[in-house]
Amino acid sequence: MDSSDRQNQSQEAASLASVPLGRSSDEELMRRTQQGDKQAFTLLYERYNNGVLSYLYRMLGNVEDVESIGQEVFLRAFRFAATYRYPSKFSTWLFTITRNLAINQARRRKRSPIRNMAELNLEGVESNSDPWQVARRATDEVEKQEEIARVLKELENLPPDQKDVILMGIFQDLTYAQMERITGAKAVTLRSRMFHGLKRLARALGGE
Amino acid sequence: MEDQTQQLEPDGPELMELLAEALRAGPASPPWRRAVELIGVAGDQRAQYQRLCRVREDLESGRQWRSVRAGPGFTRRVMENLEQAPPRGGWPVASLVAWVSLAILLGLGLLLAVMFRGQSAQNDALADLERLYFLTPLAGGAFDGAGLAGWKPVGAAIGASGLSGDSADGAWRGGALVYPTALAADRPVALEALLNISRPAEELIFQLFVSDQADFDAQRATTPHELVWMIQGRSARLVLPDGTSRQAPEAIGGGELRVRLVLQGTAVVASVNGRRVYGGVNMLDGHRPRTLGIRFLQKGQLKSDALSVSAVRILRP
Repeated sequence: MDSSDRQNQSQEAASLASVPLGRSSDEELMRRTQQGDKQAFTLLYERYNNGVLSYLYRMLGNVEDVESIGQEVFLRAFRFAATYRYPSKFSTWLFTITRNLAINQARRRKRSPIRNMAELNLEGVESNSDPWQVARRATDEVEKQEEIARVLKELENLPPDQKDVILMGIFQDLTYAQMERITGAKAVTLRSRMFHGLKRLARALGGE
Repeated sequence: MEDQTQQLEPDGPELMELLAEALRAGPASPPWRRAVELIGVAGDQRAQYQRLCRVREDLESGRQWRSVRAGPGFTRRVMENLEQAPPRGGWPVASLVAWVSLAILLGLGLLLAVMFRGQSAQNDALADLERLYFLTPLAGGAFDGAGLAGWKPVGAAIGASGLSGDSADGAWRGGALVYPTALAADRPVALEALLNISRPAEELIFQLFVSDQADFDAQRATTPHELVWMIQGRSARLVLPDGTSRQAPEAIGGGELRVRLVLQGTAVVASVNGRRVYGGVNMLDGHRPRTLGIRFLQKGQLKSDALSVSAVRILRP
């Protein structure tokens, strides 16, 4: 390594150190993780555990899978941090890992039924899994509660590719460009899936 | 905004794209507000778009559905796992598999390219061989049954129409006339015979052969590794040294038949009456000298009126 490389590295380290960890962007934290900073990854975990676990729960539908796959997601993200390319969006990279593991698990689950529920270490599961409870918390209007619950229940019956794009785009706030990178499908295809998914949900309300 | 609404078609792609973005971004987002205003120009589709917006609002209200947070136990386990699993500098298995697959695909592509080039080179060699004019007689000439001057007999005595004498036990026996000098494999050479077919018989086989081994079988006058063009009855075919036939048996009528084998290196072109019947590898050793000759194989009584050989020649370009 020559002196200019060393200088660049020390400048990079200095620039990283000058930003307080908590105010660093996801991408900066990931860069620190790549340099062996576990505290930086801990912050990323805190920022994303809710999103990752909720996505897994909505996608897989059982808490036991969420627990095991959720562990695997963060473990992989940490172990293979070297494969992340700064400054590309960290959330896209993380959700690519998450979605791939979820799809694999869903395939495995088709082959073997759910095992006995283990001792789970997740919070907020029980109260959020029932569409009616979610609907009641959302509004006092009974008619609207019924509508929300029907839509949420119907979400389960959507074809996987339509459900996938609704979960990512609506529940995880990922843009079409991000979903394009995560799924490999074209944005126009993803928009079409979004339309058709929502139209199908609309039929559950009694509309056309 | 008015200008924009006027430009948008009710079912046009711009409105659909805007709506798709609004449905993703959700209520209260800028795309949502714009979309709600623009739905007014959507004509027949208006009611449907409004329903989509209503569903989207319902989903927004149900955002807490199946939301999960990690509990302390889960977080503790994640952190323990991180302690035990230091970051890897290498590639994950999936990436490795992808790269290995890519390497295999590239290798296959390269192999195909090499094979294609090899095939192309083979075709070029065959075309070159066919373009040659073999005008210089090296040996042979008219064949009247008294043999060919300077050619070596092998096995049973050979005449223009078959072997002399009958087979005592009805077994196949053979006799050949062989050009005594083995020829270099890398120089082009043509072996040619002129036949007259009258009443072909299954018990009589005439062959033109080129061998890279001169160990002749005493009974049949054959060698272990040879390229053969043969006619038996009314069927003619080319047989490679591995025993496979590269030309489907071709029905031969009566009359004159000019058969030619042109060889150089590993290529051969076989033609009958000027028509190519096979071009390709000859499966002979590309470096060993070659022995050329004609042969009769016969079973039972001599069919003297089956066919006759009127000339045999070896030619150089």
